[in-house]
Amino acid sequence: MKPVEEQGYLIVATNTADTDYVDCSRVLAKTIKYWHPTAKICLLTNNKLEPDDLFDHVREFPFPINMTNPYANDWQVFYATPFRETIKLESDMLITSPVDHWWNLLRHRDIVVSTGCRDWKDQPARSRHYRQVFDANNLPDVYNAITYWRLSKPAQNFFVTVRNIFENWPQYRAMLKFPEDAPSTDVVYAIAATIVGPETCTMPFASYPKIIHMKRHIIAAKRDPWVDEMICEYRDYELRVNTVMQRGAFHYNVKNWRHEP
Amino acid sequence: MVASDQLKVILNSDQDFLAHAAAYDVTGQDNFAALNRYGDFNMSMSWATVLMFRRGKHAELIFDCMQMIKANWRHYKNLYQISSSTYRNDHALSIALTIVNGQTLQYNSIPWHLASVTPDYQVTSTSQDCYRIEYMDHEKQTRWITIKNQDFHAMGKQHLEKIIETC
Repeated sequence: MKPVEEQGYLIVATNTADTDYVDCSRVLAKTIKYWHPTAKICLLTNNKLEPDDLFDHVREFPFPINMTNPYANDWQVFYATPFRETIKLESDMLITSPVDHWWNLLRHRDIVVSTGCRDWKDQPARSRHYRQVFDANNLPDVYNAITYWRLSKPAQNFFVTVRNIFENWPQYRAMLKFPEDAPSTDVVYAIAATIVGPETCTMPFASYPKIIHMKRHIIAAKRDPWVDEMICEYRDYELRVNTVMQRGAFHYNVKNWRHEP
Repeated sequence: MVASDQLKVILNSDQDFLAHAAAYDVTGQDNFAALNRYGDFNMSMSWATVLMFRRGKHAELIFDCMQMIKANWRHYKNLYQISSSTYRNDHALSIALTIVNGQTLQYNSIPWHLASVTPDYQVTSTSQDCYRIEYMDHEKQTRWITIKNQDFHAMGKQHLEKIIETC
């Protein structure tokens, strides 16, 4: 699809029976617009929605979608984006500080999948609880929650590879130790990165962008959900967890936790 | 005990306020990982044992904040889920540094760790700036080390008193 804007943020939202991802996307879009009022935002969804000023563009998936695994449609983001340069964000996140410096760093590659994540104390996550497949198969520690690409052959190759992995999962699955039954986007991106060359699509040396990942074992919470034991203060689009200021992309994970500032 | 001129390094730095961000057992017997954290959320501890500060607004803010924390200790104890009910100035300092530095955990600290001798060990002075530390190892064998020209935190104050008496 021909780009109609130079750069912007793409949020993918497919509602499920228990989660309104479109609503998550609205909250995320508000936070982006607060810090960057001129930022362009595109919502990619097949859900019908009322016209919404928060989104500069609303697109549908351009190709037929896989109904059994909604994640398996992720490769379509490359064809759906209206931007020449895109930062794709997962919908269940908040942007809690300016992030426009991301662009300067990410432009060093045609495509960048974020590597590693942080806890709420801004420390690199040490727990490998959720990453056994990655470690067992020596896959790069990527998080698709923040993915940058510009319209280019290398980016297209990456997403063609992503599509190939999703559509031929049984074959790829057979090559992995401890594989998942249904492929997650992070695992598929990690395999794709290994195939195209991690040096071309990751920046493991960069300290940002990295999501703040509020998953129990990463943040050493005693129980799920983390919001039951930690104190959150959200005011004027600034978020503090247990009094500590959060910066960047805050991946809250608890889908029904979406504070309006 | 100040047994070297190492503290000059921080006095000559261009910082207004510095504390140790971690302590360790000089004998290597005890792991101080738990002591270098506080509360159920494992917040990083700043030790109030050695403080370098220059008189000014920044230091004043930190000390005022510590006073405020002390006055409202029950609230902060609950907030950070600190199990001990006893007020500690290390906790107050750690919380104050977080608040004064914009509710972040990013602030400068003394660029080396605080050598410490736990109260279970015997500390005796052998000569000027030289100390003998006697301790029990994990096999219950008595061992000793001497440290010379090394500043350290004598956590057992009764040993300090004996050293002072012999001076």
